Amino acid sequence: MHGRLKVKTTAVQEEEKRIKRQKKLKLFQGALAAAFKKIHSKEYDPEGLYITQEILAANSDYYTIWNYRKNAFLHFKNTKTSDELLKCFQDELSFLQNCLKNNPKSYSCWNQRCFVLLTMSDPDWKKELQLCDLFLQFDDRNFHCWDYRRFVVQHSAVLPGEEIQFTHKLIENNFSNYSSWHYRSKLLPIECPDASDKNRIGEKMLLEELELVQNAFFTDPNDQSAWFYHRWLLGRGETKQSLLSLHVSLLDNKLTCTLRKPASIKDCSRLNVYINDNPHVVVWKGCNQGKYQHVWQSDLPKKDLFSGENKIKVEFGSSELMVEMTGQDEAISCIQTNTETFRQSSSDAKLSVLTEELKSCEELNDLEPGNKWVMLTLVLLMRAIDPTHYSSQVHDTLHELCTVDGMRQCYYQDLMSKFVIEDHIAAVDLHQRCIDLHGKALTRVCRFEFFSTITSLNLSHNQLHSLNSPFKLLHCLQKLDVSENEIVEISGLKDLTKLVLLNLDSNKISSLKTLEPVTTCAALQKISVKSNRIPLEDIDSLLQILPNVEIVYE
Amino acid sequence: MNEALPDDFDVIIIGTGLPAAVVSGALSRVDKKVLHLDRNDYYGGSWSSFNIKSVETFLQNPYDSAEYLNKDGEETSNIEVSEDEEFVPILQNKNFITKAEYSCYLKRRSVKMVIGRINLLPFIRFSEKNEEPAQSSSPCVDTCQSDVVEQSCASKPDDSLKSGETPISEEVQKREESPKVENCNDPATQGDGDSVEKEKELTQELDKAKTKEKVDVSEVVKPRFPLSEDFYKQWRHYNLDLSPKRVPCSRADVFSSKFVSVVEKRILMRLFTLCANYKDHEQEYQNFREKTFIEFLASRRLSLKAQHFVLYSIAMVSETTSTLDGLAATHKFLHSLGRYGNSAFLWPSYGVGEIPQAFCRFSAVFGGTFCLRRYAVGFIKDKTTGRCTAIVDNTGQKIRCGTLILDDLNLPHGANTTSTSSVDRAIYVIDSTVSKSDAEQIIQVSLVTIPPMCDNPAVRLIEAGPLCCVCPKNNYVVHGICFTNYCTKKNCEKQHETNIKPEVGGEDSQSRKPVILWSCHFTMTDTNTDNSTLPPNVITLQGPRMDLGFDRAMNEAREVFLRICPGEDFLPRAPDPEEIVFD
Repeated sequence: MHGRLKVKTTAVQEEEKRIKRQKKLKLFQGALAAAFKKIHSKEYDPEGLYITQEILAANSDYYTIWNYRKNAFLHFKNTKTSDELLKCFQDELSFLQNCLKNNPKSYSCWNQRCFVLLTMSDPDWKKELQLCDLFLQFDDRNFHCWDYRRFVVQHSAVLPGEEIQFTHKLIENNFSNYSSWHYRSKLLPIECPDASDKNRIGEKMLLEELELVQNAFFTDPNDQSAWFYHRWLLGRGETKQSLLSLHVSLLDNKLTCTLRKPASIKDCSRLNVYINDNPHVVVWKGCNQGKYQHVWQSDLPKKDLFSGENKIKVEFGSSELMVEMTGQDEAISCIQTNTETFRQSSSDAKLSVLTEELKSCEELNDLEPGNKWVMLTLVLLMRAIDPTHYSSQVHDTLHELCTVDGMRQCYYQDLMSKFVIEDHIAAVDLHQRCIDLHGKALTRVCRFEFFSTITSLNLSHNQLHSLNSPFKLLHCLQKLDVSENEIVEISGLKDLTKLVLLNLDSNKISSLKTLEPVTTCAALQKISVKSNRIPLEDIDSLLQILPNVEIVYE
Repeated sequence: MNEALPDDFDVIIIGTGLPAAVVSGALSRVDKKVLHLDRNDYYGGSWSSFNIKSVETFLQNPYDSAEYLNKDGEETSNIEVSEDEEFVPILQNKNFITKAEYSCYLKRRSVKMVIGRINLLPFIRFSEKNEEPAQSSSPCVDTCQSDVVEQSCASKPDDSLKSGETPISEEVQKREESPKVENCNDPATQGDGDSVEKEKELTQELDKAKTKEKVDVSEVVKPRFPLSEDFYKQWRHYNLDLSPKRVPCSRADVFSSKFVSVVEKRILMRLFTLCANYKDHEQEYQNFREKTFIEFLASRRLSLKAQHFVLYSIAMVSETTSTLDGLAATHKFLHSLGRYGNSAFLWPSYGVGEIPQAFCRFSAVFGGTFCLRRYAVGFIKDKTTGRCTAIVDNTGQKIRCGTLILDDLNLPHGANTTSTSSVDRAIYVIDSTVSKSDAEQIIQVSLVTIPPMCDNPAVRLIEAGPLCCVCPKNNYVVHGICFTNYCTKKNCEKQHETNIKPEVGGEDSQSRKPVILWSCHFTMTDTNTDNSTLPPNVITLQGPRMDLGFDRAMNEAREVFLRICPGEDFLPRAPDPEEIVFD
């Protein structure tokens, strides 16, 4: 048609593009060859810089090429005047900025930039900070740039307060950006540290931060960034290392200590043993594999003891436990547990702060029923405030969470199991050496360190799926009932030297191989495997492997 | 401009108002042969932007039409028509702007020094999805409006006392938007020559781009929530927060706003989430289909304050608007957010007048013929077919056309026009801002909507700061728009003055009140032309109205285009230079 604009077809355009690309490729390869020649001959000259610049402009991730430039600058440092050098570095910085514009997530570019700034004299850190501002404006989650920012801040003595302001700006712009929240969590303890703990923030600041984060999660309760920051603010109380229990057995000539937190052999040097008030040097041995362990044992040769009564005391820091042996073969001493035992681990914030937070979360829960983040935070807050008082509410909320957030059902069940076990531990006297946790809908067993001296454990009628936790910590365990569960494997039951009675009835064990761990339990006298899925021939094999053990299978 | 034009075109368009310019561009784009004339020596017609001097000239004599008309009358007798033809004169539509007056409170010379360029119609437009300019909604900013009305309450001491007793529902909501504008034409430093230079730059830029998309060189406008003193009084009366706050309308705004409580934040966000996808959640408003939007808002547990700013500042509808319409308006607002930053609005840096001009340029790039200071004195109608066959221009040339399109300033003789509504407008240049802003917001356009109260209709105020390139440093241009038939000019003026003056006097703002340096008032009338008496191939277009956005103009343009070229693409993407085959 007359005057009509003629537009190329897609095919024509594709062809043009292809030819263009080929030409580009040829050029690129040519330049590459030239560059490598320079690299091999260690020839550092402006031409080399020019060639490599062309290459990097096309592909800024080529670290071999960057390395050439790095070497070239180091070379220039010795050969050029300071003015020339400055010019080189400045050119490099502006070239880098162009590269970063095209590829803001290039490790090599950011790295080279760090190199230039560290190598050049009198770098302009302020300008670098502005560069970070700019790139974070384009992409506030560019962790390369965040890293670089921290690098710049570290080298340029920017005040934490200024950086906090900066994160505030970014958060106002987009509070879903966890990078900013995280940076804040690193800066605040420096700027306004808590008097007692330098990793925490002071209460006044804490309240301000809680208000800020509250604004975020009220605006969008589905945003996880705010919740994670909230959780950080409330903190996880640090459990103090202490002795949990002491067990002395004259039969085995062993002294066994259980610690609240896993300790290394080095930490064990702080365990001081006194026999009848006399310091006693012992060699500690972990009862399990691994560097950090809860349970440590040492030999207790008879020769070190009096024939009659003995007083054995172990100290660890400010905690100490003592047993008095008056003729018996075995004695234990445990700490007295109560509701405070686990409360601290949920949060170390003040009760008043926690109560305020609970109130606003409850308010939000009314406005936004069925929000998993709100509900989970409620659970954690209630646990931190008063586990006993809120026990049924915690249970109900977790139950609801299983429906609301089905994908994480097992997580909530495990969390519930943990709470049940903790509450149970808090309520019993561990000196009884007998724990009954049957019918508690447990999906996992935890807090084994508290059970290390018990002899009988009833876990029947639960929903346990596997026994892969280290039952070995229960070094006195004689009787274990795990019947009526859904157990498919028992790998955790290895080397239970004292185990006499094992009830595995009504589980889902399906083969001899699964039962293998019990063959390592030397004292085993009776094992019951009724109502499982073990083929008869496997039972026969088991009978042969364990000729001295009574095996009940039907 | 008197040389003869080609004498045969597919379509002749008279007047370069926005819909006319868009139709022109769309027709040229599909290879229609278009002749586009405008009697003025500038583009845009009713959509034009002027500097302050041209505004004064314009208001003194909105259209130099008297002269033309007389001449027209004489000329018609000279036009040769055959027996089966009839000559129909085209007149100037004089009803567009009436009751115009302006006053300058400074010495003439100093004004000239102070004032840069004023957009007569500083439209703000929504940024929309599928950002064809076609989708833009038109914002009319600069008239004197409802603001005036509100402020009138403030101005009369008696009234303001009364207003203190008015029910809380009458609290005013204003929102303001702060659009940055890039072209800072400070005449004090630049002089006329410079502004010409600026124009040139823009032209080049647009020419280079050759696509409509580039036309909207505009920046983002942020809504705020400033309150006049009168409102301060009321709010104080109800123990509410008095300081002017930005209307929280995006997620980030809601988060950082100190204007609403955390609980309200949740309620607001829930409302926004619903409105953003309201069509998928019919059950949520099922029971409110027959009710008003404000009733629906009340049912969502929104506080009165929040109800008002959603209604007036976000949905920008009235208390009588139905739930569905309100939801649709809110939906539109929310979907406009974030496309170009944290605002639903764009501010055209070079004035709204630039937009029709850009479409004209687009049309010219695709072969349209343009001629300014040239217009049709009338058209020739074939008596047997009843169709228009040609126009006669002011040089006497007869130009044949398949279709004739007339914009709102051209009125064919014999066509019945009816005034549908009128808009009272005022433009003020003041020396400090009306809406006190937070420290960080220096650059901005504020869009303030004041709901109707004390029997006064709603008012919309738009304040543009120095960075909008409408005035020099430290000065502000305030446009007031009042959509009413009974708000007289005088009334308006009074209200405006009082409106502006007390506003800054709030206790938490600086004690100094803004001083008016320059003001003008006029009334714009919307007219509907009855097309039934016209030949079927003569199409008339509408003028700008009070809407914030260009939707209506764009839809009209699309309809007209499809009427002429059924089935054709309306403004398909323009090819990039590398896609074009040059012979």
